[in-house]
Amino acid sequence: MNINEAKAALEAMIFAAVDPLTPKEAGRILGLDEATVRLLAEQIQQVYQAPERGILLQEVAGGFQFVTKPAHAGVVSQLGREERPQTMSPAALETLAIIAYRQPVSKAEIEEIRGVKADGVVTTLLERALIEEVGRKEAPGRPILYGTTAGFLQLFGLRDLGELPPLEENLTLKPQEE
Amino acid sequence: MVTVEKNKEPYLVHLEVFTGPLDLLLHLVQKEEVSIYDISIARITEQYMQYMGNLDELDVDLVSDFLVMAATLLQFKARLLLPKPSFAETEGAQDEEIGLDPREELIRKLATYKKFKDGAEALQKRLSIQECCVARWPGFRPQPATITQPSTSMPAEALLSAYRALLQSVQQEVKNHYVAPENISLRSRIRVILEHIHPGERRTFRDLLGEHPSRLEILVTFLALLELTRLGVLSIYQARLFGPLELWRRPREQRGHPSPDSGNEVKEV
Repeated sequence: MNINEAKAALEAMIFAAVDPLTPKEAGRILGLDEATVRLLAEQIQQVYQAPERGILLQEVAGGFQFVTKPAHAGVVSQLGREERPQTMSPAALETLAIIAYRQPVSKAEIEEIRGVKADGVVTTLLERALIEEVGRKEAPGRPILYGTTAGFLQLFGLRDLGELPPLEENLTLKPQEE
Repeated sequence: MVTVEKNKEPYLVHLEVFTGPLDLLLHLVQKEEVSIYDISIARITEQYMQYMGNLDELDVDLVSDFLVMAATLLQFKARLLLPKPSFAETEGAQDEEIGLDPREELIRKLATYKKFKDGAEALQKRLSIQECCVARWPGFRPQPATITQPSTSMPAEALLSAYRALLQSVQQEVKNHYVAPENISLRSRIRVILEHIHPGERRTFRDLLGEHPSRLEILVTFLALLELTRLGVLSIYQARLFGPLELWRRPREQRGHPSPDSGNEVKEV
């Protein structure tokens, strides 16, 4: 298989895959190492950067997927595809932020930071498969520890947890917007 | 327009707006336009209590966490008013309640909360950016074992012969117009299905029916199918709307995911 054939095969697999295609999985099927797959993916990425292309190759949740370019969000949204799941409530986002930045984290720790019971929100986030149980804390009662899932990375367009926006200790309050 | 003196402005915000008591506290600090480090416990407690007092009704579920914070604030305020324990007393005290400066504790709580609230905002921004990028519609998820897909090259003759076969079967159905009592039990249909499909094998729903099935036969077979699916013996797939129903009988070792309410075995049906 020459390089162009491999590139085409990789593109086909990324297009057909249900979830973002990991370099590992692609490498296994193509009989190539991960570094080579990455190299090929980067070349595909460059091709799609051209202004006459409407999609781009995004690296998300440890894999590659094709998505429409943000510039075309307007027309794409008029296609009448089913709406995405409703936007997240501020409470859910806060809880998700705590889990994302502090993982693995127990429900009690989330409640301590937010000052509110977290059962409802945690259940919702579990149902939406954005978080999952990742183990038990070696503490009295062995509480369940939660962490984020690949679905979380996918929803927020993050390659991995290292790509989370940095958490800043910003204590100067913005003046009230009223 | 009537101008209201700033400090006498009633709180016209509802409790539901806040994600929790710390969110409300942060809002009150923000109203004061001071840094978290410059908050006055007495002032913030007064405002918090005033806010709680302005609530028309107390929805216990919603309000309990806010009440806990109110109690904590009052406790902080009381501790600040009390004379400070002497050095000798503090030194020996293991009790954190005495050792910690309540103001510092509140500031620490608020600062930690604010950090994650900002984190949540950053995530929200990320979400709105990502929402502009639409991925392909996931569509039908292929099952691990391959399901026979219609071949891509389908000659037009095949379509014609399929149409003819259909016409013929319809005509025959009309020809055989007699009414006879039918006796098909769910139990017998389940037995037929299990004889027909061996563990690990695939069949279509059509395979389970006779050449010219009666409505009752179709119906009972379908019910039997649902029962077997509930028991975790069969899986049903339909690749497209109104497409053929593909049945897969699980190998014996892969069984055991029946719905929780199905304690009974097949023979008890």
